[in-house]
Amino acid sequence: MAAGTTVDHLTETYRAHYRSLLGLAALLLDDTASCEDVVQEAFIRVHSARNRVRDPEKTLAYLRQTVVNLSRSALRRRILGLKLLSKPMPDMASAEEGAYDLLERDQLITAMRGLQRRQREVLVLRYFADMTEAQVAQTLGISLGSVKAYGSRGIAALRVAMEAPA
Amino acid sequence: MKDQNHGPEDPQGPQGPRSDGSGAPDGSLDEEALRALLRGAVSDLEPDPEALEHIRRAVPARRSRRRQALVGAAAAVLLGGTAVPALYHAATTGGVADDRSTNTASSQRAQQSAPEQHTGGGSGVGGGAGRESMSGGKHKDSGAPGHEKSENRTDGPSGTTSSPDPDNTSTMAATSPSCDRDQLGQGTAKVGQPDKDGRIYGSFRVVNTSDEACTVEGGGTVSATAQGTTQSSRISVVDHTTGDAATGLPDPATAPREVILKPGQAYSVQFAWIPAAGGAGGCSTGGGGTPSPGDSGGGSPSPGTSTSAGTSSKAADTAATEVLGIGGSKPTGEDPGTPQPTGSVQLTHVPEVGEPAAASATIPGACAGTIYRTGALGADS
Repeated sequence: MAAGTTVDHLTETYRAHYRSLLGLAALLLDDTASCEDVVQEAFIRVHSARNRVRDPEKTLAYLRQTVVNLSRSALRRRILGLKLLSKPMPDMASAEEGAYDLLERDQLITAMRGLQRRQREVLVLRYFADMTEAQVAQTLGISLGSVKAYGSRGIAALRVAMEAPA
Repeated sequence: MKDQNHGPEDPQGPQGPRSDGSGAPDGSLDEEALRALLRGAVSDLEPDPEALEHIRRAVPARRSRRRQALVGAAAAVLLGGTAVPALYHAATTGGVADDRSTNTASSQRAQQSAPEQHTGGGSGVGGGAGRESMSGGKHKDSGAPGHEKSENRTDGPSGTTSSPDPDNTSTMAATSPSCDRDQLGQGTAKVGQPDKDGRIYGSFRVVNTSDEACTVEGGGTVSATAQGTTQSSRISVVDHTTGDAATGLPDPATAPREVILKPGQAYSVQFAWIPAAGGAGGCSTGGGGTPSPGDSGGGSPSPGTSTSAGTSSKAADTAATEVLGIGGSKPTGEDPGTPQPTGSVQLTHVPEVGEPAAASATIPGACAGTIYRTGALGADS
């Protein structure tokens, strides 16, 4: 495969998916400053492995999977950091601009961040990425039953959070 | 906080685009409402205008980086130890046997720190040397500039497209690691004494040098580079499996899926060298030669091989042989310019999260055989 082909395909997938993946990352991450980094890293990884970009359907799946993984990794690191060292939150000043700033103040986002990680992942993949429950199960490596359970509990928790007077 | 579930949205509110269907009329949050809310919440996000360009630069760089990790580690060792003849050797034989088919290198490499590494991608090796394998940067300057230069073009296809994708069989299913590459360091290697059958066991050890706990998920790569008279085609690296010849390695069934490292804790990757036939490291020819002047092995002969007198300085070391990588330390005990009269195999461990290599080890008197390696294991001390 010539490199040129890949680059063209890269542009294509970028146009088709970058924005939605940015949204995916923003919904999964509790650190909006990292969204672009996560999505760009996902593109780089998936496109560095050429065999992953031959099937457009799978390309999106790989990209999503990678974003989920990277988001989780960043989340986990932060949790660890907070728990172990009581470190201050990362500098949020860099995120305080434009749409990311708005995101920080979004009620839904705030409520989503109050959910358990799994609940959040299920809801985001199911309702933002429009995956089927089976696809969500595969992406997260959990059972279909767990997807249903996390999903319904997540919606219930979100409903409570959203309806509570802010 | 704004109330997105009741009534019209604040028209000049920051969440303007989410106003469509952001809540069910009765205020309850049904699935469709959630769908709309989620989309609306992020609909204002605009990609960084530089994003595509950044990715476009980084992809070929990442590809070549993978190859460089192998070629670089090989060449660094070769230049440090055996200079030109071995370089020729590596160049003509491919030099490296790797176990990539059994790991998820691509999904694990170059974690969160990667974007910084790549923003300077256009500057290639020079700019990136600080973050890259020291071994890579070092030899690139001194060794084969033409070859490496072409490898390092980040905006062009040269040298990067013909390589087989090392990650053909990896999957994206593996979860991402928590340990960033820059959290891992103090890599060391131990190579034990050969037993009566010429089998040599050893291990790599890599420490969480950060002040946060992190998780290592995956054993990274162990790549083998033929040195001296050893031919890389006769060396292979495979994962240790239950019932294989490397009976001294821990049962893979008991291996952890991930290793959580507190600050200062280390993980290990154990390996075993099993010579192909009849001991003596699989070497069919003996070799004379003089001990290397830089010998750090205290002059102890390499036991159990017919080539002991002239084998590398690591021959009888049971302690760590050398440390490459994170601290930028040079290979120790290597005496540049002293040809190695006999074959040996250089093993290099790259953590799952990516380059640079964390540690290297030399298996002396190794000509033909198999290296069995474990995944990441907890290291007690």
